Amino acid sequence: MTNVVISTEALTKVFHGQPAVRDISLEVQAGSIYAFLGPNGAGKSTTIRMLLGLLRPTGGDVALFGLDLRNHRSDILARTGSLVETPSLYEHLSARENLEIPRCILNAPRTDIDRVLRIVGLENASRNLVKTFSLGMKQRLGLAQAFLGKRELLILDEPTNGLDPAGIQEMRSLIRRLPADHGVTVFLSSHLLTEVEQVATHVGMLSQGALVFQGSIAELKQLRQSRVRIGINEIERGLALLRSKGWEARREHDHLLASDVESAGAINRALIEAGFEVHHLSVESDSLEEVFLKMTQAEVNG
Amino acid sequence: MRMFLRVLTTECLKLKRTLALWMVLVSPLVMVLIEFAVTAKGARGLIHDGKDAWPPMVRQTVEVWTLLMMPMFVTLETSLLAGLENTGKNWKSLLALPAPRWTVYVSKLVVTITLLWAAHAVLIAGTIGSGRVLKLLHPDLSMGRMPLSPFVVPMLRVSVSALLGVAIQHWVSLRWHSYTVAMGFGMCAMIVGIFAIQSSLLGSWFPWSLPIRAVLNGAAGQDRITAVAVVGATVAAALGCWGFVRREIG
Repeated sequence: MTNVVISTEALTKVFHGQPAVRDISLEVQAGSIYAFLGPNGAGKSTTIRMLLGLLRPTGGDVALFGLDLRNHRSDILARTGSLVETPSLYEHLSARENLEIPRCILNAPRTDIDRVLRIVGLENASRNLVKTFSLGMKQRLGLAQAFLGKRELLILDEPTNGLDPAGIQEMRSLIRRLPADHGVTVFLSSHLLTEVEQVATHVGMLSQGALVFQGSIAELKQLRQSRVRIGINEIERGLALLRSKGWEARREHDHLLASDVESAGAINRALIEAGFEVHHLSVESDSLEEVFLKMTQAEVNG
Repeated sequence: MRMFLRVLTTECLKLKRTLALWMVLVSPLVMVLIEFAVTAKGARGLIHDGKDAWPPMVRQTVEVWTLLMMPMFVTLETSLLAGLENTGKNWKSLLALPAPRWTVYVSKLVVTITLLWAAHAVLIAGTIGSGRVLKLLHPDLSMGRMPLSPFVVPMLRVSVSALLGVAIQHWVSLRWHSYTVAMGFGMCAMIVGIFAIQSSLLGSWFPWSLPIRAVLNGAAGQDRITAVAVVGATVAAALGCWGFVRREIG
Protein backbone atom coordinates (compact mmCIF):
# COMPACT_ATOMS: atom_id res chain seq x y z
CA MET A 1 0.00 0.00 0.00
CA THR A 2 1.57 3.24 -1.16
CA ASN A 3 1.44 6.41 0.90
CA VAL A 4 1.55 8.58 -2.19
CA VAL A 5 -1.96 9.10 -3.53
CA ILE A 6 -1.16 11.26 -6.56
CA SER A 7 2.08 11.01 -8.43
CA THR A 8 2.85 12.58 -11.78
CA GLU A 9 6.09 12.35 -13.70
CA ALA A 10 7.05 15.12 -16.14
CA LEU A 11 3.38 15.73 -16.90
CA THR A 12 3.01 17.95 -19.95
CA LYS A 13 0.11 19.24 -22.00
CA VAL A 14 0.46 21.23 -25.18
CA PHE A 15 -2.49 22.91 -26.91
CA HIS A 16 -1.87 23.92 -30.51
CA GLY A 17 1.87 24.20 -29.95
CA GLN A 18 1.47 26.22 -26.73
CA PRO A 19 2.50 24.40 -23.54
CA ALA A 20 -0.23 24.73 -20.90
CA VAL A 21 1.46 22.41 -18.41
CA ARG A 22 5.22 21.74 -18.41
CA ASP A 23 7.01 18.81 -16.79
CA ILE A 24 4.98 18.74 -13.62
CA SER A 25 5.98 16.12 -11.07
CA LEU A 26 3.46 16.11 -8.26
CA GLU A 27 3.54 14.03 -5.13
CA VAL A 28 0.52 14.08 -2.86
CA GLN A 29 0.68 12.15 0.39
CA ALA A 30 -2.28 10.24 1.79
CA GLY A 31 -4.27 12.18 4.38
CA SER A 32 -3.01 15.57 3.28
CA ILE A 33 -4.89 18.58 2.00
CA TYR A 34 -2.80 19.56 -0.97
CA ALA A 35 -3.45 22.99 -2.42
CA PHE A 36 -2.54 23.51 -6.02
CA LEU A 37 -1.89 27.20 -6.15
CA GLY A 38 -1.44 29.43 -9.13
CA PRO A 39 -2.77 32.50 -10.88
CA ASN A 40 -5.59 32.15 -13.38
CA GLY A 41 -4.34 30.49 -16.54
CA ALA A 42 -1.37 28.86 -14.81
CA GLY A 43 -2.48 25.36 -15.83
CA LYS A 44 -4.29 24.19 -12.68
CA SER A 45 -7.51 23.10 -14.38
CA THR A 46 -5.61 21.46 -17.21
CA THR A 47 -3.58 19.45 -14.71
CA ILE A 48 -6.72 18.45 -12.82
CA ARG A 49 -8.42 17.34 -16.03
CA MET A 50 -5.40 15.18 -16.81
CA LEU A 51 -5.54 13.66 -13.31
CA LEU A 52 -9.17 12.71 -13.99
CA GLY A 53 -8.53 11.37 -17.48
CA LEU A 54 -10.60 14.10 -19.12
CA LEU A 55 -7.57 15.34 -21.06
CA ARG A 56 -4.79 13.16 -22.47
CA PRO A 57 -1.29 14.28 -21.45
CA THR A 58 1.02 15.23 -24.30
CA GLY A 59 3.83 13.75 -22.25
CA GLY A 60 4.55 12.21 -18.88
CA ASP A 61 2.69 9.83 -16.62
CA VAL A 62 -0.12 10.03 -14.10
CA ALA A 63 -0.47 7.51 -11.29
CA LEU A 64 -3.13 7.60 -8.59
CA PHE A 65 -3.00 5.17 -5.67
CA GLY A 66 0.12 3.76 -7.31
CA LEU A 67 -1.87 2.73 -10.40
CA ASP A 68 -1.23 4.04 -13.89
CA LEU A 69 -4.23 6.10 -15.03
CA ARG A 70 -4.12 4.83 -18.61
CA ASN A 71 -4.42 1.20 -17.56
CA HIS A 72 -6.58 1.48 -14.44
CA ARG A 73 -8.93 4.36 -15.22
CA SER A 74 -12.09 2.77 -13.82
CA ASP A 75 -10.45 1.48 -10.63
CA ILE A 76 -8.92 4.89 -9.98
CA LEU A 77 -12.07 6.90 -10.71
CA ALA A 78 -14.11 4.64 -8.43
CA ARG A 79 -11.88 5.82 -5.58
CA THR A 80 -11.67 9.46 -6.71
CA GLY A 81 -14.40 12.04 -6.31
CA SER A 82 -14.16 15.30 -8.16
CA LEU A 83 -15.69 18.73 -8.40
CA VAL A 84 -14.32 20.56 -11.41
CA GLU A 85 -15.05 24.29 -11.34
CA THR A 86 -18.82 24.72 -11.20
CA PRO A 87 -20.78 21.66 -10.07
CA SER A 88 -22.25 19.61 -12.89
CA LEU A 89 -25.89 19.15 -12.01
CA TYR A 90 -29.16 18.37 -13.76
CA GLU A 91 -31.33 21.32 -12.82
CA HIS A 92 -34.62 19.55 -13.63
CA LEU A 93 -33.88 16.82 -11.09
CA SER A 94 -34.00 16.98 -7.30
CA ALA A 95 -30.85 16.87 -5.18
CA ARG A 96 -31.54 13.24 -4.34
CA GLU A 97 -32.06 12.35 -8.01
CA ASN A 98 -28.83 14.11 -8.91
CA LEU A 99 -27.02 11.97 -6.37
CA GLU A 100 -28.76 8.84 -7.63
CA ILE A 101 -26.88 9.12 -10.95
CA PRO A 102 -23.32 8.74 -9.60
CA ARG A 103 -24.58 6.39 -6.89
CA CYS A 104 -25.96 4.05 -9.50
CA ILE A 105 -22.76 4.11 -11.57
CA LEU A 106 -20.62 3.63 -8.46
CA ASN A 107 -22.95 0.85 -7.31
CA ALA A 108 -22.99 2.40 -3.83
CA PRO A 109 -25.79 1.55 -1.38
CA ARG A 110 -28.85 3.83 -1.45
CA THR A 111 -28.20 4.80 2.17
CA ASP A 112 -25.06 6.52 0.94
CA ILE A 113 -27.18 9.33 -0.45
CA ASP A 114 -28.45 10.15 3.04
CA ARG A 115 -24.91 9.97 4.40
CA VAL A 116 -23.50 12.53 1.92
CA LEU A 117 -26.53 14.78 2.21
CA ARG A 118 -25.93 14.88 5.97
CA ILE A 119 -22.25 15.71 5.50
CA VAL A 120 -22.99 18.71 3.30
CA GLY A 121 -26.07 19.73 5.28
CA LEU A 122 -28.65 19.35 2.52
CA GLU A 123 -30.91 16.70 4.10
CA ASN A 124 -33.84 19.07 4.30
CA ALA A 125 -33.56 20.21 0.69
CA SER A 126 -32.99 16.76 -0.78
CA ARG A 127 -36.34 16.58 -2.58
CA ASN A 128 -36.21 20.09 -3.99
CA LEU A 129 -35.36 20.64 -7.63
CA VAL A 130 -31.81 21.83 -8.12
CA LYS A 131 -32.98 24.78 -10.22
CA THR A 132 -34.32 26.30 -6.99
CA PHE A 133 -30.89 26.03 -5.28
CA SER A 134 -28.52 28.89 -4.53
CA LEU A 135 -24.97 28.65 -5.89
CA GLY A 136 -23.72 27.68 -2.44
CA MET A 137 -26.22 24.82 -2.22
CA LYS A 138 -25.25 23.65 -5.69
CA GLN A 139 -21.59 23.72 -4.71
CA ARG A 140 -22.37 21.63 -1.62
CA LEU A 141 -24.39 19.21 -3.72
CA GLY A 142 -21.46 18.95 -6.12
CA LEU A 143 -19.26 18.07 -3.17
CA ALA A 144 -21.82 15.50 -2.02
CA GLN A 145 -21.62 13.89 -5.47
CA ALA A 146 -17.86 13.74 -5.15
CA PHE A 147 -18.28 12.06 -1.77
CA LEU A 148 -20.52 9.20 -2.83
CA GLY A 149 -19.18 5.69 -2.60
CA LYS A 150 -15.84 4.73 -1.16
CA ARG A 151 -13.84 7.76 -2.23
CA GLU A 152 -10.31 7.99 -0.89
CA LEU A 153 -9.32 11.08 -2.84
CA LEU A 154 -11.22 14.26 -3.60
CA ILE A 155 -10.05 16.48 -6.43
CA LEU A 156 -11.65 19.91 -6.15
CA ASP A 157 -11.06 22.60 -8.73
CA GLU A 158 -11.59 26.07 -7.22
CA PRO A 159 -14.24 24.77 -4.81
CA THR A 160 -15.07 28.19 -3.36
CA ASN A 161 -15.45 29.95 -6.70
CA GLY A 162 -18.58 32.07 -6.87
CA LEU A 163 -19.55 31.52 -3.23
CA ASP A 164 -20.48 34.33 -0.88
CA PRO A 165 -18.28 34.85 2.23
CA ALA A 166 -20.49 32.63 4.38
CA GLY A 167 -20.47 29.92 1.73
CA ILE A 168 -16.68 30.16 1.47
CA GLN A 169 -16.30 29.71 5.22
CA GLU A 170 -18.68 26.76 5.16
CA MET A 171 -16.84 25.09 2.31
CA ARG A 172 -13.43 25.64 3.92
CA SER A 173 -14.53 24.19 7.22
CA LEU A 174 -16.01 21.20 5.42
CA ILE A 175 -12.78 20.60 3.49
CA ARG A 176 -10.66 20.94 6.65
CA ARG A 177 -12.65 18.18 8.34
CA LEU A 178 -12.43 15.72 5.48
CA PRO A 179 -9.10 13.95 6.17
CA ALA A 180 -9.70 13.51 9.88
CA ASP A 181 -13.42 12.72 9.78
CA HIS A 182 -13.61 10.72 6.57
CA GLY A 183 -10.09 9.54 5.87
CA VAL A 184 -9.86 11.14 2.44
CA THR A 185 -6.99 12.97 0.83
CA VAL A 186 -7.93 16.32 -0.67
CA PHE A 187 -6.32 17.87 -3.73
CA LEU A 188 -7.72 21.31 -4.37
CA SER A 189 -6.81 24.07 -6.73
CA SER A 190 -7.04 27.71 -5.84
CA HIS A 191 -5.69 31.07 -6.83
CA LEU A 192 -6.28 32.46 -3.33
CA LEU A 193 -3.33 32.21 -0.98
CA THR A 194 -5.45 33.07 2.04
CA GLU A 195 -7.63 30.09 1.29
CA VAL A 196 -4.61 27.84 0.97
CA GLU A 197 -3.15 29.04 4.27
CA GLN A 198 -6.41 28.29 6.01
CA VAL A 199 -7.09 24.80 4.76
CA ALA A 200 -4.00 23.16 3.27
CA THR A 201 -1.26 21.07 4.81
CA HIS A 202 0.78 20.99 1.58
CA VAL A 203 1.19 23.31 -1.36
CA GLY A 204 2.19 23.03 -4.97
CA MET A 205 2.79 26.37 -6.69
CA LEU A 206 2.21 26.63 -10.37
CA SER A 207 3.33 29.40 -12.64
CA GLN A 208 3.19 29.51 -16.43
CA GLY A 209 2.42 25.79 -16.45
CA ALA A 210 5.46 24.83 -14.36
CA LEU A 211 5.67 23.72 -10.73
CA VAL A 212 7.80 26.28 -8.91
CA PHE A 213 7.38 24.96 -5.38
CA GLN A 214 6.12 21.82 -3.71
CA GLY A 215 6.17 21.11 -0.01
CA SER A 216 4.43 21.55 3.30
CA ILE A 217 3.01 24.88 4.45
CA ALA A 218 5.81 24.98 7.05
CA GLU A 219 8.40 24.58 4.31
CA LEU A 220 6.77 27.34 2.35
CA LYS A 221 6.86 29.64 5.35
CA GLN A 222 10.60 28.99 5.70
CA LEU A 223 11.05 30.61 2.30
CA ARG A 224 9.83 33.90 3.64
CA GLN A 225 12.60 36.47 3.76
CA SER A 226 12.99 38.52 6.95
CA ARG A 227 14.57 41.91 7.50
CA VAL A 228 15.03 44.59 10.15
CA ARG A 229 13.02 47.76 9.64
CA ILE A 230 14.61 50.77 11.26
CA GLY A 231 13.24 54.25 11.80
CA ILE A 232 15.86 56.91 12.65
CA ASN A 233 16.66 60.56 12.14
CA GLU A 234 19.28 61.26 9.45
CA ILE A 235 18.54 58.26 7.28
CA GLU A 236 21.35 58.70 4.76
CA ARG A 237 24.02 58.99 7.47
CA GLY A 238 22.56 55.95 9.24
CA LEU A 239 22.65 53.96 5.99
CA ALA A 240 26.32 54.84 5.55
CA LEU A 241 27.07 53.79 9.13
CA LEU A 242 25.40 50.39 8.73
CA ARG A 243 27.23 49.75 5.47
CA SER A 244 30.53 50.82 6.97
CA LYS A 245 30.03 48.21 9.68
CA GLY A 246 29.41 45.52 7.06
CA TRP A 247 25.65 45.17 7.31
CA GLU A 248 23.69 44.93 4.09
CA ALA A 249 21.14 47.73 4.18
CA ARG A 250 19.02 49.88 1.91
CA ARG A 251 16.63 52.77 2.18
CA GLU A 252 12.87 52.34 1.72
CA HIS A 253 11.04 55.66 1.93
CA ASP A 254 11.71 57.00 5.45
CA HIS A 255 12.99 53.71 6.84
CA LEU A 256 16.12 51.64 6.56
CA LEU A 257 15.96 47.92 5.84
CA ALA A 258 18.78 45.67 7.02
CA SER A 259 18.81 42.06 5.89
CA ASP A 260 20.65 40.48 8.86
CA VAL A 261 17.83 39.89 11.35
CA GLU A 262 20.17 38.09 13.74
CA SER A 263 22.00 41.38 14.26
CA ALA A 264 18.93 43.46 15.10
CA GLY A 265 20.22 44.10 18.65
CA ALA A 266 23.74 44.93 17.49
CA ILE A 267 22.39 47.31 14.84
CA ASN A 268 20.27 49.07 17.45
CA ARG A 269 23.24 49.42 19.78
CA ALA A 270 25.54 50.72 17.02
CA LEU A 271 23.02 53.36 15.95
CA ILE A 272 22.42 54.60 19.48
CA GLU A 273 26.14 54.68 20.27
CA ALA A 274 26.65 56.78 17.14
CA GLY A 275 24.08 59.29 18.45
CA PHE A 276 21.06 58.43 16.28
CA GLU A 277 17.52 58.62 17.57
CA VAL A 278 16.00 55.21 16.92
CA HIS A 279 12.21 55.58 16.99
CA HIS A 280 11.35 52.31 15.28
CA LEU A 281 13.01 48.89 15.09
CA SER A 282 11.21 45.71 14.15
CA VAL A 283 11.85 42.38 12.46
CA GLU A 284 9.42 41.73 9.63
CA SER A 285 8.92 38.83 7.19
CA ASP A 286 7.46 38.43 3.71
CA SER A 287 3.85 37.44 3.68
CA LEU A 288 3.13 34.17 1.86
CA GLU A 289 1.60 36.31 -0.83
CA GLU A 290 4.94 38.01 -1.37
CA VAL A 291 6.71 34.64 -1.47
CA PHE A 292 4.20 33.45 -4.02
CA LEU A 293 4.53 36.56 -6.15
CA LYS A 294 8.32 36.38 -6.07
CA MET A 295 8.26 32.76 -7.15
CA THR A 296 5.76 33.20 -9.91
CA GLN A 297 7.47 36.39 -11.08
CA ALA A 298 10.81 34.61 -11.19
CA GLU A 299 9.24 31.95 -13.42
CA VAL A 300 7.73 34.58 -15.70
CA ASN A 301 11.08 36.36 -15.99
CA GLY A 302 12.74 33.03 -16.75
CA MET B 1 -22.41 -5.40 -19.15
CA ARG B 2 -23.53 -4.57 -15.61
CA MET B 3 -21.90 -1.19 -15.87
CA PHE B 4 -23.65 -0.59 -19.19
CA LEU B 5 -27.00 -1.36 -17.57
CA ARG B 6 -26.21 0.96 -14.68
CA VAL B 7 -25.34 3.79 -17.05
CA LEU B 8 -28.47 3.06 -19.06
CA THR B 9 -30.51 3.28 -15.86
CA THR B 10 -29.05 6.71 -15.11
CA GLU B 11 -29.82 7.88 -18.65
CA CYS B 12 -33.45 6.88 -18.10
CA LEU B 13 -33.49 8.72 -14.77
CA LYS B 14 -32.26 11.89 -16.47
CA LEU B 15 -35.36 11.86 -18.71
CA LYS B 16 -37.61 12.61 -15.75
CA ARG B 17 -39.51 15.91 -16.22
CA THR B 18 -37.84 16.56 -19.59
CA LEU B 19 -39.31 17.80 -22.82
CA ALA B 20 -37.57 14.86 -24.50
CA LEU B 21 -39.87 12.48 -22.65
CA TRP B 22 -42.99 14.56 -23.29
CA MET B 23 -42.18 14.65 -27.00
CA VAL B 24 -42.71 10.89 -27.14
CA LEU B 25 -46.38 11.60 -26.50
CA VAL B 26 -46.73 15.01 -28.07
CA SER B 27 -45.12 14.40 -31.50
CA PRO B 28 -47.11 11.32 -32.52
CA LEU B 29 -50.31 12.71 -31.02
CA VAL B 30 -49.94 15.88 -33.09
CA MET B 31 -49.68 13.62 -36.13
CA VAL B 32 -52.74 11.69 -34.97
CA LEU B 33 -54.70 14.91 -34.49
CA ILE B 34 -53.75 16.19 -37.95
CA GLU B 35 -54.80 12.94 -39.58
CA PHE B 36 -57.96 12.85 -37.49
CA ALA B 37 -58.86 16.36 -38.69
CA VAL B 38 -58.09 15.49 -42.32
CA THR B 39 -60.17 12.30 -42.21
CA ALA B 40 -63.01 13.97 -40.34
CA LYS B 41 -63.07 16.73 -42.95
CA GLY B 42 -63.28 14.18 -45.77
CA ALA B 43 -65.67 11.92 -43.89
CA ARG B 44 -68.68 12.88 -46.01
CA GLY B 45 -66.86 12.00 -49.21
CA LEU B 46 -65.80 8.66 -47.80
CA ILE B 47 -69.37 7.94 -46.62
CA HIS B 48 -70.71 8.92 -50.02
CA ASP B 49 -68.23 6.65 -51.82
CA GLY B 50 -68.80 3.90 -49.27
CA LYS B 51 -65.04 3.43 -48.91
CA ASP B 52 -63.30 2.03 -45.86
CA ALA B 53 -61.69 4.97 -44.04
CA TRP B 54 -58.87 2.95 -42.46
CA PRO B 55 -56.52 2.41 -45.45
CA PRO B 56 -56.12 6.08 -46.45
CA MET B 57 -55.92 7.12 -42.82
CA VAL B 58 -53.21 4.61 -42.04
CA ARG B 59 -51.28 5.27 -45.27
CA GLN B 60 -51.24 9.04 -44.80
CA THR B 61 -50.31 8.71 -41.15
CA VAL B 62 -47.35 6.47 -41.91
CA GLU B 63 -46.15 8.55 -44.86
CA VAL B 64 -46.39 11.98 -43.29
CA TRP B 65 -44.86 10.75 -40.05
CA THR B 66 -41.99 9.08 -41.86
CA LEU B 67 -41.28 11.90 -44.26
CA LEU B 68 -41.66 14.94 -42.00
CA MET B 69 -42.46 14.32 -38.38
CA MET B 70 -40.00 11.55 -37.61
CA PRO B 71 -36.85 13.34 -38.86
CA MET B 72 -37.83 16.40 -36.82
CA PHE B 73 -38.56 14.18 -33.83
CA VAL B 74 -35.16 12.46 -34.08
CA THR B 75 -33.36 15.80 -34.47
CA LEU B 76 -35.16 17.27 -31.49
CA GLU B 77 -34.70 14.22 -29.27
CA THR B 78 -30.99 13.81 -29.93
CA SER B 79 -30.44 17.54 -29.39
CA LEU B 80 -32.42 17.54 -26.15
CA LEU B 81 -30.63 14.47 -24.81
CA ALA B 82 -27.21 15.89 -25.66
CA GLY B 83 -28.36 19.21 -24.19
CA LEU B 84 -28.80 17.52 -20.79
CA GLU B 85 -25.02 17.24 -20.63
CA ASN B 86 -24.05 20.27 -22.71
CA THR B 87 -26.21 22.81 -20.88
CA GLY B 88 -24.79 22.25 -17.41
CA LYS B 89 -21.31 21.38 -18.70
CA ASN B 90 -21.96 17.99 -17.21
CA TRP B 91 -19.55 16.00 -19.36
CA LYS B 92 -16.65 16.67 -17.00
CA SER B 93 -18.37 15.07 -14.04
CA LEU B 94 -20.10 12.31 -16.00
CA LEU B 95 -16.88 11.23 -17.68
CA ALA B 96 -14.92 11.44 -14.42
CA LEU B 97 -17.08 8.59 -13.10
CA PRO B 98 -15.73 5.05 -13.36
CA ALA B 99 -17.90 4.04 -16.32
CA PRO B 100 -16.19 3.26 -19.64
CA ARG B 101 -16.97 6.08 -22.04
CA TRP B 102 -18.48 3.75 -24.62
CA THR B 103 -21.23 2.87 -22.12
CA VAL B 104 -22.26 6.53 -22.00
CA TYR B 105 -22.32 6.90 -25.77
CA VAL B 106 -24.19 3.66 -26.42
CA SER B 107 -26.65 4.23 -23.55
CA LYS B 108 -27.65 7.57 -24.97
CA LEU B 109 -28.09 6.00 -28.40
CA VAL B 110 -30.21 3.20 -26.95
CA VAL B 111 -32.36 5.76 -25.14
CA THR B 112 -32.89 7.73 -28.36
CA ILE B 113 -33.89 4.61 -30.29
CA THR B 114 -36.19 3.53 -27.48
CA LEU B 115 -37.87 6.93 -27.44
CA LEU B 116 -38.37 6.74 -31.21
CA TRP B 117 -39.87 3.29 -31.02
CA ALA B 118 -42.05 4.34 -28.09
CA ALA B 119 -43.29 7.26 -30.21
CA HIS B 120 -44.16 4.77 -32.94
CA ALA B 121 -46.16 2.73 -30.43
CA VAL B 122 -47.99 5.90 -29.38
CA LEU B 123 -48.63 6.72 -33.03
CA ILE B 124 -50.18 3.31 -33.69
CA ALA B 125 -52.27 3.38 -30.51
CA GLY B 126 -53.30 7.00 -31.11
CA THR B 127 -54.35 6.33 -34.68
CA ILE B 128 -56.46 3.34 -33.61
CA GLY B 129 -58.02 5.46 -30.87
CA SER B 130 -58.73 8.33 -33.23
CA GLY B 131 -60.39 5.89 -35.67
CA ARG B 132 -62.66 4.71 -32.89
CA VAL B 133 -63.60 8.32 -32.09
CA LEU B 134 -64.24 9.01 -35.78
CA LYS B 135 -66.58 6.05 -35.93
CA LEU B 136 -68.44 7.43 -32.90
CA LEU B 137 -68.72 10.86 -34.53
CA HIS B 138 -69.68 9.48 -37.94
CA PRO B 139 -71.55 6.20 -37.42
CA ASP B 140 -72.14 5.95 -41.18
CA LEU B 141 -68.41 6.02 -41.90
CA SER B 142 -67.25 2.67 -43.15
CA MET B 143 -64.54 1.47 -40.82
CA GLY B 144 -64.05 -2.24 -40.79
CA ARG B 145 -61.62 -4.03 -38.57
CA MET B 146 -58.47 -2.01 -38.05
CA PRO B 147 -55.97 -3.55 -40.50
CA LEU B 148 -53.14 -3.96 -37.99
CA SER B 149 -50.76 -5.62 -40.40
CA PRO B 150 -50.74 -2.80 -43.04
CA PHE B 151 -50.05 -0.40 -40.20
CA VAL B 152 -47.66 -2.22 -37.94
CA VAL B 153 -45.51 -3.80 -40.64
CA PRO B 154 -44.61 -0.47 -42.34
CA MET B 155 -43.99 1.09 -38.94
CA LEU B 156 -41.62 -1.75 -38.08
CA ARG B 157 -39.82 -1.16 -41.37
CA VAL B 158 -39.63 2.56 -40.61
CA SER B 159 -38.34 1.82 -37.11
CA VAL B 160 -35.47 -0.25 -38.45
CA SER B 161 -34.64 1.81 -41.53
CA ALA B 162 -34.47 4.99 -39.43
CA LEU B 163 -31.57 3.62 -37.38
CA LEU B 164 -28.87 4.95 -39.70
CA GLY B 165 -30.22 8.51 -39.53
CA VAL B 166 -30.60 8.22 -35.75
CA ALA B 167 -27.00 7.01 -35.33
CA ILE B 168 -25.65 9.88 -37.45
CA GLN B 169 -27.81 12.51 -35.75
CA HIS B 170 -26.78 11.12 -32.34
CA TRP B 171 -23.12 11.52 -33.29
CA VAL B 172 -23.65 15.11 -34.50
CA SER B 173 -25.52 16.08 -31.32
CA LEU B 174 -22.80 14.74 -29.03
CA ARG B 175 -19.91 15.95 -31.19
CA TRP B 176 -20.92 19.63 -31.27
CA HIS B 177 -22.14 21.36 -28.12
CA SER B 178 -24.30 23.83 -29.97
CA TYR B 179 -28.01 23.13 -30.42
CA THR B 180 -27.85 25.11 -33.63
CA VAL B 181 -25.42 22.72 -35.28
CA ALA B 182 -27.45 19.64 -34.41
CA MET B 183 -30.80 21.21 -35.32
CA GLY B 184 -29.43 22.74 -38.52
CA PHE B 185 -27.86 19.46 -39.55
CA GLY B 186 -31.07 17.53 -38.88
CA MET B 187 -33.28 19.98 -40.75
CA CYS B 188 -30.96 20.07 -43.77
CA ALA B 189 -30.75 16.29 -43.81
CA MET B 190 -34.54 16.07 -43.70
CA ILE B 191 -34.96 18.45 -46.64
CA VAL B 192 -32.29 16.70 -48.69
CA GLY B 193 -33.99 13.41 -47.81
CA ILE B 194 -37.33 14.65 -49.16
CA PHE B 195 -35.75 15.56 -52.50
CA ALA B 196 -33.54 12.49 -52.56
CA ILE B 197 -36.46 10.05 -52.63
CA GLN B 198 -37.18 11.23 -56.14
CA SER B 199 -33.81 9.92 -57.22
CA SER B 200 -33.69 6.17 -57.60
CA LEU B 201 -30.00 6.08 -56.75
CA LEU B 202 -29.74 8.66 -53.94
CA GLY B 203 -33.11 7.72 -52.50
CA SER B 204 -31.97 4.17 -51.99
CA TRP B 205 -28.88 5.12 -50.04
CA PHE B 206 -29.41 8.49 -48.37
CA PRO B 207 -29.94 7.75 -44.64
CA TRP B 208 -32.90 10.14 -44.27
CA SER B 209 -34.62 8.69 -47.36
CA LEU B 210 -34.37 5.07 -46.30
CA PRO B 211 -37.47 5.06 -44.02
CA ILE B 212 -39.85 6.56 -46.59
CA ARG B 213 -38.31 4.35 -49.26
CA ALA B 214 -39.04 1.37 -46.98
CA VAL B 215 -42.68 2.49 -46.78
CA LEU B 216 -43.16 3.25 -50.47
CA ASN B 217 -41.32 0.15 -51.70
CA GLY B 218 -43.32 -2.21 -49.53
CA ALA B 219 -41.70 -5.63 -49.35
CA ALA B 220 -39.67 -5.01 -52.51
CA GLY B 221 -36.03 -4.27 -51.72
CA GLN B 222 -36.75 -4.34 -48.02
CA ASP B 223 -33.84 -6.62 -47.26
CA ARG B 224 -31.40 -4.22 -48.89
CA ILE B 225 -32.85 -1.19 -47.08
CA THR B 226 -32.73 -3.03 -43.77
CA ALA B 227 -29.15 -4.14 -44.42
CA VAL B 228 -28.05 -0.60 -45.37
CA ALA B 229 -29.75 0.86 -42.30
CA VAL B 230 -28.51 -1.71 -39.79
CA VAL B 231 -24.97 -2.04 -41.10
CA GLY B 232 -24.72 1.72 -41.66
CA ALA B 233 -26.05 2.45 -38.16
CA THR B 234 -23.58 0.01 -36.63
CA VAL B 235 -20.67 1.61 -38.49
CA ALA B 236 -21.86 5.16 -37.67
CA ALA B 237 -22.32 4.23 -34.00
CA ALA B 238 -18.91 2.57 -33.85
CA LEU B 239 -17.17 5.55 -35.44
CA GLY B 240 -19.05 8.01 -33.25
CA CYS B 241 -18.24 5.97 -30.17
CA TRP B 242 -14.56 5.80 -31.14
CA GLY B 243 -14.44 9.58 -31.45
CA PHE B 244 -16.33 10.03 -28.19
CA VAL B 245 -13.96 7.74 -26.26
CA ARG B 246 -10.97 9.72 -27.54
CA ARG B 247 -12.56 13.11 -27.01
CA GLU B 248 -10.85 15.58 -24.70
CA ILE B 249 -13.01 17.38 -22.16
CA GLY B 250 -11.49 20.81 -21.75
